[in-house]
Amino acid sequence: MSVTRRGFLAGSAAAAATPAALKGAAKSRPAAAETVFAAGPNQVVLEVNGGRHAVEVEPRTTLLDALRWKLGLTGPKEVCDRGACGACTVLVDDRPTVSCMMLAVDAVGRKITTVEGLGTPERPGRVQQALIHHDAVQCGYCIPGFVVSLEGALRADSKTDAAGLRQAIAGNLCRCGTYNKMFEACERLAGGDPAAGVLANAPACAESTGGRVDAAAKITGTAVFGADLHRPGMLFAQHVLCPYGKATLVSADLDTVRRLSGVIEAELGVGREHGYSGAPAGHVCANSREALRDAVSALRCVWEPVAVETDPRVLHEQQHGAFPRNEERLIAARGGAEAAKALAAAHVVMERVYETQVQNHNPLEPHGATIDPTVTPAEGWVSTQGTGSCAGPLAQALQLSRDQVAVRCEFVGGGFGSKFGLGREGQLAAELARKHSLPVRVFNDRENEQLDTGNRPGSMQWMKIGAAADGKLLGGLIYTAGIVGVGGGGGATNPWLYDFGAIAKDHEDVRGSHGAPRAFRAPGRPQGTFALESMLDEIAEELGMDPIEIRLRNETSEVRKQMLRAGVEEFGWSRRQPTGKQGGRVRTGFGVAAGDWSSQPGRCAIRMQAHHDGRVEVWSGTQDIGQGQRTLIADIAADHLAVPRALITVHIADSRFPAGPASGGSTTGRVTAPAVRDAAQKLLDGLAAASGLEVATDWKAACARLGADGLTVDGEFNPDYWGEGGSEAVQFAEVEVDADTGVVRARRILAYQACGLVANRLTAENQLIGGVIQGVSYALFEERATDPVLGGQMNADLLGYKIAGAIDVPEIVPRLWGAREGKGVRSLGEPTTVPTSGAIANAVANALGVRVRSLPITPAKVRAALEGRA
Amino acid sequence: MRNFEYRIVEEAREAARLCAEGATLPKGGGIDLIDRMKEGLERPARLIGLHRALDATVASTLDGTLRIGASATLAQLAEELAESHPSLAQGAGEAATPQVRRMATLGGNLLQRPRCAYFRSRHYSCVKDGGEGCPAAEGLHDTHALFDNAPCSAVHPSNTAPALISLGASVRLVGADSQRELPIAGLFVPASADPTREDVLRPGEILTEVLVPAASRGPRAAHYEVRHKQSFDWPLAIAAVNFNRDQAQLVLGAVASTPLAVPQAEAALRACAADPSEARLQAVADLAVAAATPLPGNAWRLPLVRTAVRRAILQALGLPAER
Repeated sequence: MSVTRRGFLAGSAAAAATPAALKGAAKSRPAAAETVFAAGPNQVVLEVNGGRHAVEVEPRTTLLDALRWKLGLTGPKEVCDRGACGACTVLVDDRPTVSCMMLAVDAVGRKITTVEGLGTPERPGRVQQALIHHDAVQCGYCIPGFVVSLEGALRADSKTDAAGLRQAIAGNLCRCGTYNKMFEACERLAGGDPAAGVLANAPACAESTGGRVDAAAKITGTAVFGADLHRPGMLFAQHVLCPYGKATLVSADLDTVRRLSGVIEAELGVGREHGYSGAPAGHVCANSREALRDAVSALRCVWEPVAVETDPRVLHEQQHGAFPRNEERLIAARGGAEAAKALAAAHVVMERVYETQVQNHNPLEPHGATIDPTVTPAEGWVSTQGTGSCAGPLAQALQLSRDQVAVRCEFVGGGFGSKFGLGREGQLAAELARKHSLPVRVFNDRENEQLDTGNRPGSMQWMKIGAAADGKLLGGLIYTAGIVGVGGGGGATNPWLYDFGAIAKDHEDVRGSHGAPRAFRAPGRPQGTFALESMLDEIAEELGMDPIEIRLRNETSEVRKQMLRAGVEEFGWSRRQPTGKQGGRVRTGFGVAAGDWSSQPGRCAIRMQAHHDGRVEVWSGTQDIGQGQRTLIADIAADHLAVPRALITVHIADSRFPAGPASGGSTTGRVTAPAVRDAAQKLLDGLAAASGLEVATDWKAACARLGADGLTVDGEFNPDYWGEGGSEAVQFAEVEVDADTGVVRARRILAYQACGLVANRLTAENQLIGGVIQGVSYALFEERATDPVLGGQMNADLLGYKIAGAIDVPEIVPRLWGAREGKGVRSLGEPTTVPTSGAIANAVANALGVRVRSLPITPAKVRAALEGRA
Repeated sequence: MRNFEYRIVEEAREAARLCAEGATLPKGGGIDLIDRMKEGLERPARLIGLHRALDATVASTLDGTLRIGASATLAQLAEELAESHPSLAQGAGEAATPQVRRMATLGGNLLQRPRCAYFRSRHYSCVKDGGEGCPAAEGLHDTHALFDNAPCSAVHPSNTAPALISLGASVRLVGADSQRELPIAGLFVPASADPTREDVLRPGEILTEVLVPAASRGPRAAHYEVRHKQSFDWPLAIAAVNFNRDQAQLVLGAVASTPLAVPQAEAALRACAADPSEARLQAVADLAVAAATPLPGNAWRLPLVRTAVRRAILQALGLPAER
């Protein structure tokens, strides 16, 4: 029998017995000539979004590159570049396909549909409508891929149920954590109860129930991120980083690379030792993506790595002596005598060590900037959390004055604390832009992104805590060590919740050979909280107390006491089984943990203009990293002006606009809101004076009396509108642990979050859910894997670096606590992720009767704990 | 990726002839190949596109033999074989992501190269890529081989091979002037025999189809895998069993340099099929791991292998999952 496809089909069809075979036979087609694409440029026609496009591609050009860089369709994103994250998903003949793993020439003759082909902001498609409706978006970078995956599932089977749709997005990663909003949208798409989700929440809304004002731009893929920008003549550059803990760059083929077509420059520190994994060794710049990639691979860097120590305990011993430190030293220090007294008086003394991992930020849009010095003012499209903080460094690098540059970041693909300032990437882009007087794009590939753009430092936390028989914490000793790579000053904040009594504590940094930490969503807090919440449960267990009871006894916050009591009821805490009493293979556990956050007033300027026709424009230099900054400004302004939100247009993320806070410390919304109210009040006052009318009764009539220039006012941070109060949090978690495999699945989380005034219910809930999901991911999956010999990161990609996906997240009930109390907005970004890992760790311990004292809680650690090897 | 010529051929023989010429690699779905090319591990001068040359259908012949064209995707197998060949459908359906399963072919799944992070990194050299030693053995080897782990400790990455071996499948290989059929178990090369390759394909040879004998059709087969993360992750252990028509086959996956058949468990498996008592399940599990030679950092997975074996047996027998 012939083995060609045609021959085979002829044979098999003859012998066919099943419908499947007939279906196959029907696909038989006439012979066609062999198709050859020469190495180098080929003219092909791609059928995209209903149009036919002639493009020049090489055989190696991926479909993603062709769409983004040849056709300007930047809805599909490049994130992992290995088919693991789904951000580049497009439909190929109606089937969701990762376009980063498909050759463009293989797409010839097939029907390609990108997110842009599924709707526009004005006329969103069915999936886009559902996602917009449920606010299933934060930063927006991953969303086009989700839209396409869902559309594909519906095209394959229009009757797909919600569970099927959820499976359809199992190959799409969202770093902000919007999965549960997407599940709501899936319910809607599957024809479920249209009152599910947002509508069910509506009666509880404090203020706006309107959607996210830029949701449509993000969900239809029309939002332009810095990484999407393509300017004429643009150069592409990237750093070359040291891949080992310590290595000498012995040689590199620089001469060859510099002679390659399209290479602009290549500079490397050859002959030098590079001192950590991710240390910059130089850069390469070329006039196209292909030329840059060719140049990097042609470099043939020869590294001579040396063995480095990576074990934190050994490093600690080398740098500070044995871990933990001799407790006499703590007792001799400040507060030590009282702490020792407390331990001596205690009914129970618990001594434990808790450890946490190094976690990488992995925003889906990597760190980077596209800088264009050929326009006036010079533009820097930086993926940043601080528009204003980039302008000075950019001006300096371009040798311009600050008013000659504009930093723009109208959309930022995720920022979790590591994206302040221009960064190494923006600095390189600016220097090259100045040198060559051309636009330059420097965005990390995923490997560079993982190696050295900050991380949440790991920690080792030794605690020796005494408690009275009634559960009252009396005090004790705490020694923490931060695993900080080549950085310093980080690790764990412990204790910082509850009244721990008389505590003497100390901290040291353990330096190592990986990149320095940067702020990461509530720096120090998740680490410390995991330890102290675990310790509380261990003491409670020893005393035979309920975890709720010991918390109520030591809690200093009345709000959290109320949350604890409310959760007992709402979560069904009475169904919690006694710790360690479950047999069977799949065991269920309940856990609880707390969190908090506080932030300080800051400076923020807002410009607001009322127009003759009643429209209002607002300008703020602040940025949206997914929290919903445009929405918050619009909602607060509409609320204060008492006008429909549709009249308000918000302009943000440009360094020429009035300056506001960088998005760090959970202050953006909190500090912006009082400035927006201040501007709005000035506008109302000015309008009343200018029009002679009572503005509140007839906004449009008052505006109609304005001249052609309208009325413009400048507002600033006004303490009268400051939202006093903390961001208390309590989360309850239910997990399911498979004792035979050690696999933990988070099943349910109830998240109480104090937040003062809710400017927008949808975005606030979404941020809370996102914090919880990042907490789940931190608790169970994420960890930088370091080669213990040469110190390289072995999972510097999204194939091996594990981030929770759609099937890994629990049901989450977000409860915005006391939403109507207080006149101001409080912090929501950071506190939402603080309690999660502690709650999950306690739930796992409750399920198993043994405790994993190290994050992430992997199958290996669960098994070790069960086997008594922990 | 280095620039290359791309030739989409019409016939497997022609593909084999071209691939034998050197600096030429065949491309099916491309998922694994493009990954390795992006990483710089492969720098072919020419790729041969197989998708027109190889059949992509999943079909049964009159005698009940299942023929799967090597270009059939994992998504197809998961969808079309759920009833007739559940273990293969499960293995295919749990691999990678929905998008990848739609592109990845069965041929590629069987012939992909290991996922060892050291092997996959251009910054490390090892015995598998022609260098020396096994950096994983001294380094991170949590997910590495529990059996047959020298001189290379990478595990075979195929999610479909364990089920196929347990079903007694064979593969058809086509060369420029040759054609042969092998039991699929004979396709794979243990690291101890040759760490630089995972399969016995001769230069240029193309895997064109997979045949599953009629006797293995039926519901009494199962693939069970343990994964850390449920959305996209590689397995920590796989067990595939087949009880159809009085067979009793057990094959492990993700534990050795090849999918690992456990023929010595046949009698114990038969006993389980007759009466799946806890003791009998444990007896099979004991046999499954008896020859293990774990590394210091991965012995913890042995109980997972045992668990996968027990659960695959129960699933294949249509019994409720353990709780």
